Amino acid sequence: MTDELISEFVAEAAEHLAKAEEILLALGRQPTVDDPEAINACFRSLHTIKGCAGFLDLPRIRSLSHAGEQILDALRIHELGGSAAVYDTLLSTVSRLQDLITQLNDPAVMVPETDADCLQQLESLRNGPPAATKATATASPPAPPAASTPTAEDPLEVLSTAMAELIISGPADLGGITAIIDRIAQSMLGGAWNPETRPVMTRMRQLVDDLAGPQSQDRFRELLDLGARLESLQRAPLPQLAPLPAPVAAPQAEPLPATVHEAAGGVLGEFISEADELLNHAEETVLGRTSFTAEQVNGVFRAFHTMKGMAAYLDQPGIERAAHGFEAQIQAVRDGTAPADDVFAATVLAGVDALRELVLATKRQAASGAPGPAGITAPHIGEARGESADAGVARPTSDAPVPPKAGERVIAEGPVNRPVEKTAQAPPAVKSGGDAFSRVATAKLEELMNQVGELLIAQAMVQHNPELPPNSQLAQAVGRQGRILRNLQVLSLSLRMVPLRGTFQKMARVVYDTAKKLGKQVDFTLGGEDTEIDRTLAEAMGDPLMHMVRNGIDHGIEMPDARTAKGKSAAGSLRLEAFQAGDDVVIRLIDDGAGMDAQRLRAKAIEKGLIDPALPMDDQACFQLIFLPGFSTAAQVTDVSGRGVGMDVVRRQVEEANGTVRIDSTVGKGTTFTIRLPMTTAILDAMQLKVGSENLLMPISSIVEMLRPKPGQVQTILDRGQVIQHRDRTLPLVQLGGALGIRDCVTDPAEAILVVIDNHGSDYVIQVDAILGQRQVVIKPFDAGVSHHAGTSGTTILGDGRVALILNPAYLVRHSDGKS
Amino acid sequence: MASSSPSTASGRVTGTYLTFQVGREEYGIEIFKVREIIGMLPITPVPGSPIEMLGVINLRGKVIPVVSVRTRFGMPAVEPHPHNVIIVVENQQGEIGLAVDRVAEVARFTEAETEAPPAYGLAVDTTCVAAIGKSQGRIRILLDIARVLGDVTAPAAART
Repeated sequence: MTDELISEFVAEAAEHLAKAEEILLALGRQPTVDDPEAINACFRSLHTIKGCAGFLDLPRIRSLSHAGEQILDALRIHELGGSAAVYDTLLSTVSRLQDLITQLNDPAVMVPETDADCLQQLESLRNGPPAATKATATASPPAPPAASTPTAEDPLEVLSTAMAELIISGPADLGGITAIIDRIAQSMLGGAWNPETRPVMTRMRQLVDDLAGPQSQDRFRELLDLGARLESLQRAPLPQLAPLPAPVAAPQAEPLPATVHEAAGGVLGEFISEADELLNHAEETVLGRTSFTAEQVNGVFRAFHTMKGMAAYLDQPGIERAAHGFEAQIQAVRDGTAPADDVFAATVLAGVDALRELVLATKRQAASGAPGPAGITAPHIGEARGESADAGVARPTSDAPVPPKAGERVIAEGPVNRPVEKTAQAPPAVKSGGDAFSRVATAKLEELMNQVGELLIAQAMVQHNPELPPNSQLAQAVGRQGRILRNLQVLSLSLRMVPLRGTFQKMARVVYDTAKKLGKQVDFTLGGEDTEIDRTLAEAMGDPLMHMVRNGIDHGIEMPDARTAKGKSAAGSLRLEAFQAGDDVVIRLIDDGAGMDAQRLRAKAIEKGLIDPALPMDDQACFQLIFLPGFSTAAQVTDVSGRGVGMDVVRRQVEEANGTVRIDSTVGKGTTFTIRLPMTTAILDAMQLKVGSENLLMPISSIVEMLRPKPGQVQTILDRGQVIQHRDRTLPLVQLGGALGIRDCVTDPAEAILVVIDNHGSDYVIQVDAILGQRQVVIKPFDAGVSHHAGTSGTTILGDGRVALILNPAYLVRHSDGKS
Repeated sequence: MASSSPSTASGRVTGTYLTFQVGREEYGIEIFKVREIIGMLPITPVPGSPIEMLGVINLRGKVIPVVSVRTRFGMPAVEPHPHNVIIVVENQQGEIGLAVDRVAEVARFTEAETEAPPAYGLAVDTTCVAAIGKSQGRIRILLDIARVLGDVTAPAAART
């Protein structure tokens, strides 16, 4: 099994799944319409994936696609009737498959440990009680079991009471919690429950069993999350007109208030976006803090209170009730009857998550209710879910029936902090100020930039044409055209830029979860979140930052008592900040933890056989050792980090983005990581150099200085290599023309210009014919098929329409033997 | 690809080819592989690329590689001529330009008019030849473009 086969499979499977998803979404909109063609197409897609997965020995993908295929087969031969529930289940299967397949390419993508939940749902579709099938056949709605079951109280009532009790009881009261969960489970047997709640319930029961162990706080919070999920699942209305093949005994969900449809465009949309803001605000307030001022508590209280009021006004009883429940909890803190501590923070976070789910459900209802025929109000989960085919983008939690574990939350926390992504997914029916975004394929943006660049060149040719009469009206018009075009270029480039805020805010959650897990206290602050950076880079930095944050808390920040013993505050400080420095963006992660001992790192690396003991190393080089694969300073492998993976990802991903990482550390004082990235992957600030008849571009960031050599400054070593004495340093001299095979260039250094290149310690000097000045150029990478000198990283198109090469200073010197 | 069976005498058209001259020979490539034909543009050499790759050009904002058919088939370089053109073809890697001496015509070949290339005796590497086209008393060498370009994309030693 080769990587090539896998990546081919990934690409093909992604296409199949995208197609299947599209079909399923369409089918789900009209579940009763029989469309054998569409079902067949879907069946074929999953069948192909199954076959390939079998061949490539990917058992999870194989068995999941097999299970999905079986359902589609049943649909095909009308053994099973189509319904919104069936298509929803298939959709969640498809999206799990997408995650699994994405993970093949990008191991950083988090996928739940097992597919038991998906498989179970699929299984239950197939093996639905015969009674239900019969009900479909006779087209008579199943009798509500309310009359026959003693426990058939309103599930939502049961849940909200239970959740409120849970929050009050806290994680310590095991017996109480078990009783509460049992009560919910009991109620479930009554039948008036959405079948999707069952896997969630299963997970809740597992959690209760684990509550006695370590990390009970985390588990408890997850339990609260799950409760909120149950509530939102239950609240999502069941398909009422659709035939019911699944073990849905009685659809008894709350009817969708009519006002939702009417309000969908206006008031409700505003509510949704405002709710988002309120919840974000509440989350930001509590994250990273363990003690709170009265003002902060009040702020959080107001957020929930406002939510409650708005929900009441809009006739959203579920949200109103939930908001009220949490408001009451916060009220207790406000009154001073409960402490404003980490339990308070956990409560608020649980509330934020619960309300977010509910708001999301409302949004879905509004979206699905608007275009479809009246009555079918099943949520098109797929519409609210990211239908993005973006590799490496994890999906919002609403996707998976069971939320990921605490440690995985970070990435899965999609809906919160990705404004662009989120709004792009928003169905058009939900209109609000925050949703004024559209999703555009990157390829189209690239093409736009290409065309604007071409237009600029074409315009310059007119403007500088000698036939153009100077000072004429025509010349003026052409000049104005040029200015508009340059604005257009700036605009087209800015389309790729996003603020780092989204990426940074995700880290707040990582900090919270990691600190909790390790029992450490961290005071996390952000700075410069509005710094803009290329979209692809902002996304690419998510993983490295996460690893750095985790690592910083795990290895850097000490336990509270150790810190107090050293005279530090019990809570460690961790600051993540960004700023623009020239055309670079600098991201810094600063902790005031234990710091690193350069010599200890070196000894450790020698002990592990990772480096040559004879090699002299400065402190910076020693610090960089932590980026080596397999290097870990943790005495014990912890749950969080220390397996020797992670930090090597940091450097690799940063370097892939043409950036650098620097580490500064003082033992006992703390560590600072400094990532320096180009603001964009598309634009480069470069010096245009002339060698022979060729134009070459050297990134400005690598140029230290330029000089004309004085006589005798260039010397020969062993009659071959040339060196230059410059500012007390002896630097190797590279004749660029010779290194790149360019003829007709100046060979005598005395007549040439020398450029000193910064190459991270191994600096060197290149010899060029002339310097033509600084340019901002659009980078065009080489085609995959074009082999080229490693010292060239790409091309660009100059103002005269000619192609020029961009130099890669890191590889220019390694490939040159210094010969002239 | 055109059939290499010389025996059948059917009048069925097996392919439409764009033919061009390189040196004294005339070559053909399947017309559906051709994207466009452009006049010679300034070519920027790429260090470290194979000798037959002349460099890269700016095709309306896209940077695409250009391969010299002359050099590819081991013919000596000649002075540029106004008739020289670049034929832009589509292959697996994307668009790629073929620098040729001049374009001749668009020709159709029936099965009877094509035959398998001789395994020896040609001035070119016959692995790139799909078939020999014979019509109007002329011989045209019909190329398998994937094979012509196959080697070019393989890594070559830096030309330092």
